[in-house]
Amino acid sequence: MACLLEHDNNFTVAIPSYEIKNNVTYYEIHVTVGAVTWSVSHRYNDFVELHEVLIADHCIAKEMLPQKKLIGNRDPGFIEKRKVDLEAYLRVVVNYLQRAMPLVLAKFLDFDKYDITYILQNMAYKCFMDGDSFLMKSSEYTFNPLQLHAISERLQKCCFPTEVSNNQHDFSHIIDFCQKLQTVIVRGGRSIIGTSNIIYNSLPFVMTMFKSVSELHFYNIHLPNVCDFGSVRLTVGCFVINNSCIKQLTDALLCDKVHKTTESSDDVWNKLVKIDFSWNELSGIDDGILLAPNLQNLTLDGNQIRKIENIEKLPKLTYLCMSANYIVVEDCLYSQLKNIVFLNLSQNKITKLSPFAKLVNLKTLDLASNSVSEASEIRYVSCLPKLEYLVLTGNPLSTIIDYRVKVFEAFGNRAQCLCLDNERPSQKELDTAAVLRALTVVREGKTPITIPSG
Amino acid sequence: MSAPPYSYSYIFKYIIIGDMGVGKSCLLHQFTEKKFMSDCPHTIGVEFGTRIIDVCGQKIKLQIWDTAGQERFRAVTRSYYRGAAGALMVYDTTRRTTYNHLSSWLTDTRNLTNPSTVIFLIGNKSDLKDQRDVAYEEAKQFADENGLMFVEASAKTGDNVEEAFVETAKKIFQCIQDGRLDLNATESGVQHKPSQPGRQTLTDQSPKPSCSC
Repeated sequence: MACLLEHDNNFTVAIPSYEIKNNVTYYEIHVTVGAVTWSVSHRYNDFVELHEVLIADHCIAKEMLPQKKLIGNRDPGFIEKRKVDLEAYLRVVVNYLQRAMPLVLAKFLDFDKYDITYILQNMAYKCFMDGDSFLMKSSEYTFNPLQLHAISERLQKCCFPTEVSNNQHDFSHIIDFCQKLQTVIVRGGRSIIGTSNIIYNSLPFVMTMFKSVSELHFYNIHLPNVCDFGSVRLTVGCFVINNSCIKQLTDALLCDKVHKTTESSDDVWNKLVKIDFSWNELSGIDDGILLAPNLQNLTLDGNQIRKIENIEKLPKLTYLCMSANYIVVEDCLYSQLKNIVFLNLSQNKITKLSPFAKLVNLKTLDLASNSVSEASEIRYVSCLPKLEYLVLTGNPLSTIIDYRVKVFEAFGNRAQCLCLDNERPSQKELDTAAVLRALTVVREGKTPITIPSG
Repeated sequence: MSAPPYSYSYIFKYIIIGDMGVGKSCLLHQFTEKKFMSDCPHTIGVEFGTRIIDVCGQKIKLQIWDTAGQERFRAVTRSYYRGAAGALMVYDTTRRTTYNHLSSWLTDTRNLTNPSTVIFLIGNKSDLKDQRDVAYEEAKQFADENGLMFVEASAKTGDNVEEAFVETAKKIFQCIQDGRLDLNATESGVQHKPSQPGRQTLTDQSPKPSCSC
């Protein structure tokens, strides 16, 4: 992120090249501020417009800009000469106006895209003009790390004297706006910003400006860059982090702390009831989960988790979704998941249904695209008293002939309440299942056992 | 919590300054939330609060910067004086040292704000009567000599807190009406906000950050 105020000795402009598009010559201006560079291209007419404002408002001499030429202005020699002259012109202007760069010049050089001061001015103006009407309709706003970084820098650093040129550029308007937001979305990325060499995810930022956030979404964020959650930790109820490469829960919940231990009560996210850390690189459910003791709803799709663990530490959890992981279950899950009502373990490596046999609170069980192959496994879930939605599609089991009928048969009288693979049983399926049951009774001379003895 | 109405005709920018531990953050909290914060942490850098008040039939939004009293934050907090329409200078009535430092706070304020900035002196913790260390008369005299408005208040009981913020706003509003304060001047700390709710013209172009994923 550029900050001209801090690098005013290290600021250069150059025009190294030009480009001809649709018969118009665009001069490529390279701006360098400290370690940051970017480029912006303008045609000669843009220079003329800029120059007119600078003459009128900032005492720039009229004859400084290279002259207009109507005929022969596509001659390469002429363009080359003009390029050199324009560069000289920009250097003089910038040198002369650097201390208090007028907005028109800053915009001409794209400072409003890359420099903290001008980004903040822009945001402050928008917040002042539109902040209230925006907040009347919505309490949700999407930031990028560049904006948050700019606000953070302004909060922590000393003097930004340029704001004063206009009250509408006052930083107060931004903070005022931020404090009222209830849903904050931050979208980062590993790409560079515009034509600059700044990378979104290289910019550190704080979250202390948000005071009433109940929902926080991070997409594609480098979590170590979040330096301070401030009071967000006390207010947030729903926390989403997707595609951000977090490897442990503490990477997210303690990213702003030096000591990554779960012991301090100051670090607990007491209001947090919903977590969605899907599409990261979590290898397990670590102790970090203790930092969200009131969690009701946990989604960890698309990670690298092999084992269900530590869920028993969340007494209020009823919704668990861990689709597209590497989960294998061997032992009974009762101690882990006894309170769970909604369970989605689709796209994992599950081969058996016996571990689910005692999860009496389950209403929904989604095991799509696993590796369950034996039809005899069905009896372990057919006894779950509250089960209403069962998904087994995509398992080898579901390719068995009369698969659906076999499942409904196992569910006995409750078959008509069961929605299997998103489809209620047809009357025909129910009838066939009933006939099969009757045949079994005749063959074995007793009611088939559907409740497993173990 | 009912959402605040987003209609007001002016914005006034305030700062609250004074020594560490005099109760600046508590005053702000009492004013914006009408609650006393008993274990208020030290402010780091700056805090911010807003409230819309009614002055002479006009809705005015106060944007208040609460600064850290600790010396080490002085460089940061100084950048917030600029463009303040009102400055609330706070001391602790039970600690004389905080009163003794007022002249240096006043110098800072006079140097960093503009001549029309209204400075209001608040002697906080007036509820702690038996621990009083600075007499009312003494502070009153200091205020009069320096042309400050003055009140003793208590962030704990809420006594005079509202008055301090509102009286400051009244004075600023008076200056506007008298023409002593130029709305168009930069650094006046006052902004006219003619827009009314329901105005939709610019809303559709509301800031949408570019994103790259």
